[in-house]
Parts: sequence; C-alpha cells; structure tokens
Amino acid sequence: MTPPTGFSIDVDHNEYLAEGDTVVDAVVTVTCHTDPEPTGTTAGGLAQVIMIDCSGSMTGSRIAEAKRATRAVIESLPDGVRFAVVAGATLGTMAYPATYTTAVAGPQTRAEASRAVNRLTAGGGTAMGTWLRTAHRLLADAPTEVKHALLLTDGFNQHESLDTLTETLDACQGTFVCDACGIGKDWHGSEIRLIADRMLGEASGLPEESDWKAGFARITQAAMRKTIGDLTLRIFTPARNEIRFIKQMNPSIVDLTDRRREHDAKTGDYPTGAWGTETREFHIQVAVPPIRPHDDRLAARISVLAGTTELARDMITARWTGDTMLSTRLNPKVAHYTGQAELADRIQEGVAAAKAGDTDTATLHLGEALRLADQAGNEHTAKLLGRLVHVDPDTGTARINSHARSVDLEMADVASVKTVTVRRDRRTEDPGGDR
Amino acid sequence: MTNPTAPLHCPVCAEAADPSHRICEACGADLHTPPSHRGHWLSSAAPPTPCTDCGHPEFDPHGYCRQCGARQTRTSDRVELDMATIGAATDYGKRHHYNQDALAIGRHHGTTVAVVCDGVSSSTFGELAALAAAEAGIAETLDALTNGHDTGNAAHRGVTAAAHAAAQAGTAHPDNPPSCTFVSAVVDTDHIQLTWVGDSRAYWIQDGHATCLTVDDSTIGRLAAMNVPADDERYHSPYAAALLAWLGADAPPLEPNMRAIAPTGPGTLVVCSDGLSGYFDTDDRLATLIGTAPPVKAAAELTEWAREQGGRDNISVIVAQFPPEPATAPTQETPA
Ligand SMILES: [Zn+2]
Repeated sequence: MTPPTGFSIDVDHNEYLAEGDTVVDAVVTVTCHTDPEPTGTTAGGLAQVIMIDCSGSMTGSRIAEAKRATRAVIESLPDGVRFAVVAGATLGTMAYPATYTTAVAGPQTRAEASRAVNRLTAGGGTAMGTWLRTAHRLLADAPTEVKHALLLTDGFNQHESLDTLTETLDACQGTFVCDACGIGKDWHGSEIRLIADRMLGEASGLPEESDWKAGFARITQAAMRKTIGDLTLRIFTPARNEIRFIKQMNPSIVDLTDRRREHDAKTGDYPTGAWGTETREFHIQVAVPPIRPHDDRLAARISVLAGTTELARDMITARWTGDTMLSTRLNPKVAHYTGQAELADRIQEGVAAAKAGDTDTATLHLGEALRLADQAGNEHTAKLLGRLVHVDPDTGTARINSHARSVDLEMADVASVKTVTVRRDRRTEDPGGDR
Repeated sequence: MTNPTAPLHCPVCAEAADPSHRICEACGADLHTPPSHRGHWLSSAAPPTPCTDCGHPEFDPHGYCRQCGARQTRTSDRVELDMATIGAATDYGKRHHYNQDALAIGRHHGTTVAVVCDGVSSSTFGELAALAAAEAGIAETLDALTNGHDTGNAAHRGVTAAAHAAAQAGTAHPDNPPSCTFVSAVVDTDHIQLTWVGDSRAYWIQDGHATCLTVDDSTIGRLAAMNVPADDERYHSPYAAALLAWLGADAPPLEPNMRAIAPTGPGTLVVCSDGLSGYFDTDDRLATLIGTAPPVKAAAELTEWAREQGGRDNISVIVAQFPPEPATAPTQETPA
C-alpha cells in the first residue's frame, strides 16, 4: 500500500538548560492527517484474527454470548478482508478456516465461519502463548499491509509459564499488532497489559456479558481504520548523547525503550505498530553532555518512517541560558505526561498491593491516583478508581472500598495505561523570544 | 584580456594593484576575473571550519555537528568587510549568544550594493533566514546589474530573491520558521536606490545632518512617518512595535518598500540593523558619531558605539560613500 503523505511531527520541550544540566525532556506529537476510509479502500489491506477463549471456564452462558458476539463481528467484516478465528484453550486450534490460513471475507466464507463458531464448545485450560503462536502462523503469511489480532480471554494464563508467554510475545513482535481484552471477571489485568504492550495493541476489559457484542465490534472496527502496517520512529542522537527512555504516552502508555533496532551507530528505529488517521504522543528523555555557557546542541533528530520512506522530521535541541526563569520552566506537555506516567505507576502498585492484602499501601497509591486522575482530567480512570477508593472531600483522607469486586481492580489495572491529552485550558502560551 | 604590463585596478575595490599578483592586496579579490563577471560581494557568513568540540568537518543544514551535535552558527559573531568605498561591520552585541544579523556588500563596476538582514529572534534560527536572504539578495542584485537592469529593477529582483531564499530556509520549521528583515541600498553615481521590508534602516548624512530614509514596517514606524503626534494612543497599543512585514516562510505577501533618492552632493549612506538605530535619540545623533574615517573603519566605530550603549541586540552597520567612485578609479568596462 502506498504510504500516505500528510504526516506531521511537533516537538514540545524546554530547550533552555542551566550550566551543567544534562537532561532534555520532549513530547513528540505525531499526526497522520490522511482522510479515514473505514472500510472499502483498506479492506484488501487488512487481515484480522480473532482468538476467542474456549477454555472450561467459559461453560454456559459465557460461551453462548461469546459466540454470538464473534458471529456479529464476522457478519460485519467487509468483503475482501482476510480473517480467521482461533479457538483458545490449552492449545490454540483453528475454528475457521479449517487449515492454517486466513480466509477472504465474502458471503460464503462469512456464513461458513458463523457456522464454525456456532460449533465451538468450552473445555480445557488456558495457555495464551499457544493461541498467539497460531495467530502468528496465520498472519506471517497473510499478504496484507495491516495484520491485526484480537485476543479475548476470560481467565488468566494458568496452564503456561510467564516465561513461555513472554518468549512467544518476543517471537511474535513486529509480525502483527494484537489487542488484548479481558472478558468476564476472572482475568488478570497485568497479563492483558503485557500482551497488548508487547504487541503494540490496546488493553481493555469487558466484565459484563451484555457488553461483549458492542465491545468486540468496537475493537475490530478500530482495526479496520488502520491503513499503515507499521510506522517507525527513527531517532538520531549525536555521539555523546544517550536516549534515557522513549515511551508512547497517548493514547496509551507503551515503553518503547527496549524495542530499539540499531540503524547505524547513532540512529535507532522504534516500532509503533499500525496507524490510521490519528495522533499519538511520545515522551523522549535524552541525556546530553553537561551544558556549558553558550552551548547550543542537538539532543536528537526524530523522523517518522513507513518502510524506508521518511514522512516527517523534526529535532530536539538544547541550549544554555543564564536565566533561571527560563531553565527551570517545565514544558506543560512534558509536565502533563510525567504526571500521566506517575498515575499509571500508582494504579499498578495500588492494585498489586490490594491483591496482596496490603491495604495501607493500596490506600496510599490508589488515593493518590484518584487525586492525579481528577486533576489531569482522566475521567474514565477516575470513575474506575472511584469504585476502589473513597476520598473524603473535606479531609482528603482516602479509604479503600471493601465492597469492590476483584474485577474492578483488574479494570483499573488495564485502564492505568490509558492517558488523556493535555487539557486545553492548561496550555500556556509559548513565551517566544525577546523581540 | 588583461594586459599584464598595463596598470591594473581591482575589479572589486578599485584599488591600484600589481598586475603580477593574483589577488588584490586591499580586499583579497581575484584580480584577473574576466570583465563579464557578475560583480563581487562579501558576506558575514562564518568561514567553514571543523567542529570546535570534536573536530568533525560536517554539519547538518541547521549547523549542528553530525558527530557530536554541537552547533556552529553560520553567521560570524563579529567581522569587518572592506571594499574601499563601502565597508561593513557586524557584532553580536553583549546580550545575545550569537549573531542573528547577516550583511553583505558588493560592487559591480562603479555601483556599490549593501544588504542588511536582521534575523527575528522569536523565530527558530532567524540567522539562517538572514544569511540566506542577504546572500541571495546581493547576488541577484549584482547579477541583474550585470545583465543591464537599472538599479530599481535590480533592487526589486534582489529583494524577491531574498524573500524566496528566506522562505526556503524555513522548510524544516513549519510552525515557527526562521524569518528576517531586509534592507538594501544600490548606490551609483547619481542615485541611491533603497529597498526594505521590516525595521532595519538606512540613513543619509550630508553637511552634518543625518536623515532616516526608511520607514519601519510597524505601527509606530508608519504613524511617525505620517507625523502623527507622539501622544496618539495608537503608539501605545500592545503590538505597536511588532513587525508588520518580514521575509520567511510565514511572511505576508512580499510588498517591499522602495525609494530612490538623488543626493544634491557628496555624503555618506549608513545601512544598519536596529542594534544600532535603537540607540539613536534623534537622527542627527548619527551625524555626530560619524567622522571622516574610511567606510569600514566608520562602520566598526559605529558598531563599537552601539556596544558601549549596552549592545542589547546584534549590531550590523554598512557605510557607503556617495558617490561610490573613488576619484582616481578608472572603470574596467569592456565594450559589449
Ligand atoms: Zn562536533
């Protein structure tokens, strides 16, 4: 598929450093402005694999509802989209088609697939790595620009070691993008996040069966809006600089630091997954040699690539100032995403403490998380946290809600990586120069 | 062809030169350039040198070392340029880290050309626009003079080329592209043709009086040019001093101010950035400062004076004699 033009990069950072400073923080905003074509033109460019949990815990109304929701997704697939359904249990087996390949959506294949989904039964354990390996086998050969998978699980990965799962994720990385969604009430948010993070997909949870049909549809429709299979951030840093971290910060947090592929001695490539018409923000922290008076240095040069085609570029600079008003000023976007990263850490630590029975630590972190979420405008996260912790509006004292369901903890955990952009009213005018 | 035994005069500065020399001792120009050459010019561009931090020879288009990332500014912090009847000096002042002004002086036969561009410091890398505009402006003006255009036409072509070059300098910075002011003067034996965009200025000094010839492209500048009294409230609007016109990728459509004057007698033209003119209480202040020194010396003295006043901005000054022809200078004209 021809790479779209219409890309832009914006860099928000405070380029002024005091003598001896070494750290430059920047928020890099990447926007794809191309007009969306939700179906139709991109249909031939997409392969979609649905991994549906068929383990023993799905028995009863759950498997019936999951089948109904999956059939609805299949019925909505536009002609030409390649697709497959994997039945996930102790092994990932083909539900449709019968062989290890993807089918091309059309009236006949949709009908066949619906009948195949209807025949699924629940039974066996949960080993998600085997499901992913099956999806990998299907998608590695798919002749499409965008390769997308959706993993739906109602339990945690109890019949496979964490090492096996992470090894599988490492092997699958870069071949396809995978969203992970916990359905029902017995999954682990940390596992859902792990899969989505490594596969550059989205983590979510759907505790109520009544939400499944709409939820499955929403996730698969979002995949259809992707038109570029993999977009790369290429970062050049001069010889004495060091990238401390690079994290996608919006729409969700994905740490890309360890995903670097060396392009040459000073240039590294970071995969960002599949893109449609959208905007994402990245927080990059670069260490530069200690700033001396009158220094003006390049911290990093950023470009966006589809394949080997450069779509946009910008740079992060660092210059000396003797004016402490300038050097100590925090860029509002950098400050905002530093806060969003802390919010995520607080939620994850609070949830882990609550699950371990450490109420004091859980109260501390979740109470602070709720305060941060309210302050920054993370309304959805604040709502989920509100089920876990109450904060007295007068005294500010936090108290754990003892009636919270365990799935509420998992929902908060999954939502921890969801961020909001900086509020309009919090933006401050760039001070510009001295003219 | 030049006869090696005939008396030779430098095609750039018109100084008498030894025909056996390749280079003019007065200004460094190539003495044996064919007469059809498009005129000579010098600019305040910094000479290319390896990175002062790491010694690497290559820089990216913004001046950052490709090895270590240290930036080398492409404009000289301070430099003096001498072409005998026209001379220039620039200095980055006392408050700025480097020089965002650029200037260029040139000569085509008996006509001298001056260009000053002041990089707008609220834009990103304003000096890149300033240097590109100054060099493109003078090169195109001299080229047009060589091709037989009159001074007004040549000046207009020069500012057009400068505007294009300044806009090109900004392609990597769509949000806040580099921008600059522009003022040029083409000085021949009868006229001085002035062309400007922004608030860099030109002054005429004759018989102990100095007159500003340009009108700043700002609300204040235009009000003052219309003799609106100083107590008018429009002088105090928040944006009264803001530039209304400039060169750069985000500039309004080019509508250069153009003015030609025909001096009644010999005098001196000063073209400068606001790093100098910002310190004048009255125009005549300049007349008291300028002495009888040769142009390059006069330009250097004015620059030093602005530093002594505080040097709060970059300072660029070009001083040109009128008429430009030294009394003894023969022309090197070859009949077409
Ligand atoms: Zn270097």
